[in-house]
This record gives sequence, C-alpha cells and structure tokens, in this order.
Amino acid sequence: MKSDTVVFKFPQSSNEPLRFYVTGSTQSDYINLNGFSKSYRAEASGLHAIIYYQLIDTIKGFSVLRKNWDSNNADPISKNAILTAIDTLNYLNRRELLSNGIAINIFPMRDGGIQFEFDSDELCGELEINNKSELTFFLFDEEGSIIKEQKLYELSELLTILEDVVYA
Amino acid sequence: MPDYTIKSIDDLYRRVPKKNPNCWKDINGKKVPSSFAFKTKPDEDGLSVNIAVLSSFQETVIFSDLFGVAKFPASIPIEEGYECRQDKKTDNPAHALIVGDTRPIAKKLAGASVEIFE
Repeated sequence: MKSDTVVFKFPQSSNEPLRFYVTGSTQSDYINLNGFSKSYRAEASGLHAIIYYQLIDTIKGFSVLRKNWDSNNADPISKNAILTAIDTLNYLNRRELLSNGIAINIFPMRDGGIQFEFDSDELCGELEINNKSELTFFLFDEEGSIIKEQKLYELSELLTILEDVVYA
Repeated sequence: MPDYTIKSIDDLYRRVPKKNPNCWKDINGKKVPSSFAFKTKPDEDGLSVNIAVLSSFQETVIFSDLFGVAKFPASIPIEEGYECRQDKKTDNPAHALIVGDTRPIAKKLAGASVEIFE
C-alpha cells in the first residue's frame, strides 16, 4: 500500500502559488491503468490509488484558476479551500471510500471554494468547502431538493453521514 | 425594460466550463454539469442565463473548445418561486437573470440540464 501523504514542499505565503508533491510513486498504478479492460479485476488498493491520484491532480489544477475562470466572474480558488480539500481526500482515501461504489467528483466553486459531489444509487450529496475552509454537507432527494444540511467540524462526521446513508 | 416575458415553457441556457477545469460529470452515461455552475455568489443579484428562443448554442458558448452549454426548463425556477426576467445587455439581448440566491435550487437545475451542441 503506497503512502497517500500529501505534504507542502515550501511554506505558503499569500502571493506564492501552491506547490506540492505527493509521496510515493504512481508509476505502477498507471501501468495498471493502461492495461485496464472489462475483464481486468484491479486490486482494491490499486484502484483506490488510481482514483486518488486523479483527484489529487484535479484539486492541484484549481490553484491556477484565475478570476473569471468560468466566464461568469468566478473567483480564484482559495489556498485554504485547496488545503482542506486535500485533507478531505486523504481522509476518504485512508478509509478506502474512493472505490466503494460511491462516485466522487470534485469541482471548483464560483466563490473560491471547492465542492465534492457524491453519487450512488443510495446517495446524492455534496460537501462544500468554502474559502475559509468551513465544511457543509448537503443531502438531496432524487429531485435535487435539499433534505439535510449540516455543518461539519470534524471529517469523521462526513464518514458518519456517508455510512448512515449507504447502510440505511 | 424587458420586451420578452419568460414563461414556463421557455428553455434557458447556461455556459459551463468543460476544459481546464472540466465541470461536467458522467452519471450513468449522461453528462451532467456540476451544481456549482448554478450557484450564485453572495455579491450577485441572480444567475446569468440566456433565453433559448432568443439565443443559440454559438451565441451562448462563445468558445466551444472551453465551454459546454447546459439547457434546462425555466419552469424549474419559476415553480420554485423565482423571478426569471430578461436583462438585456448591449451585446447580448438574450441575457436574463434568475433573480435571487439560486443555491437552494442549484442541484435541481443541474439535474434537469442537458448538454446541447451546435
């Protein structure tokens, strides 16, 4: 099992672009990905790693978005939100939640935050991380109406919500 | 002064990035835009859209290699109590606003959207 630790290479200053690296080689995982087919049964840890590194790349990419990146006056993504999103992804990865049947997509938000979207047969949810690193989870019904909104103070609360919905 | 009244039978267009970053996801084979694209910022009066009948894919997308266009029915915000009104710009007479904070209905708008092409 590879390390999933993400560390910041240099201390951050307000004007410095984000620079980070992920410990552990991705080479063997990408070899697996190239050979992926319908008959291929990836080891859980390998599939986890592939998804993890793809999502890490996605989050890293948000650091270069400039004002108006959506052509509708969106704000740049805050460093706080990026750091918290990486923490959140690491948490989900450590608990092997990245390949357990819940599709996870990560998007920048127009106000400088980041949102995780969770989709499965049983779950339609979003985790919003605002530009102050505050977390709010939204649970939706099939029509997209909000049926639950909860501020999170610990990432363990996210795990509880996901388990409650999936195993209800 | 608006010269077009948006009705429930109208469709609305919203431009959504599809490259750097890609803001569409694949759900059961269907491309769905992220709900973030339908969430207003705190400093906005409403969500910018184009009125489909007064616009086109090309006029909405502007750069088709960078953006996609999501189409959704105006009936959704109207039935949720939102005012949808034409907000003409000098370079875009099809521009309209879904007035107010659209965050509570963003997921509905995203889920009802289909990607349109040229």
